[in-house]
Amino acid sequence: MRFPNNEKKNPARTVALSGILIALSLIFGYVERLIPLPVPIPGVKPGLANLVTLTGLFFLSPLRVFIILIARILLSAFLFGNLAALLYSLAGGILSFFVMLFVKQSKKTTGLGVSIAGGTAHNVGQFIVAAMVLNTKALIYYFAPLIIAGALCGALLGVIFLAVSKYLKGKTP
Amino acid sequence: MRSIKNDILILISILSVGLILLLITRIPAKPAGSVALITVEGREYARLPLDKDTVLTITVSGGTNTVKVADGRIYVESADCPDKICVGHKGISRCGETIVCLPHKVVIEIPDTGSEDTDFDAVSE
Repeated sequence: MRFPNNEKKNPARTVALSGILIALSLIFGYVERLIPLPVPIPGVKPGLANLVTLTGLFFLSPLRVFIILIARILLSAFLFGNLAALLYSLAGGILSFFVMLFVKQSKKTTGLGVSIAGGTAHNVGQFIVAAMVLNTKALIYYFAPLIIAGALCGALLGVIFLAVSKYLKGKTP
Repeated sequence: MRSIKNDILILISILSVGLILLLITRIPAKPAGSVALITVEGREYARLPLDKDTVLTITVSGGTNTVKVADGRIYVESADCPDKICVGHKGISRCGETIVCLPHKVVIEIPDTGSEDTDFDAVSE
């Protein structure tokens, strides 16, 4: 599939592409639920759906990626009936989006570094919400493991992204 | 310039910050606690002495968690939350240890023994 190089010039393709990417990230989110991780820490998961955000940041406009991200989070919360987790997903997703955008615009790292920063930021965002909702000091014990898990999962996704982007490059603007 | 070297630098710095935090929050070997404090949405729900074997069903707006005290430790025996992470958590018995059920906003913790003399101070933070 070819990525659009001008959203204004070709709005139909942009809408179709957004729909496909939202569907793809929903499937990623669903599939990773089927893979249980043997970690007794809430919120630790690979975050496959972030692959769509990450790839999008390199090939689409930031606004388009943000819309896809928010649509995915809302749809996934309603579809899979996990409204309790909506606030956590939103906080993690939005913080991670802006951190990734910042790291990407700094032009110092490849997608791998962007993904590592994003994975960490996602878990930090979730931690902040958890700290506010639960209002207990005891949560601090989860902070360090969450940071480490976020960085490692981000690194994993970054490696996948580097492999994928090689094939997308020839077909991009 | 975009380079893999900077990527690895980011990974290493985040991991070292994480490991240092891990050491700060985990290293001091905590003494065994005497009581388990259960809070729901930040409010105290119950206190269970760890030296008495009991079973308690916590009812929250989203469902229930059943906790059990046995052999001086407390664990979540069953729950109807979507992720069941609290059920998978191993039993806790030492001061500062926690089991958290995010979907039900339930926190089970073993408070430091020193904090018991502040019982009358119901509202803190």
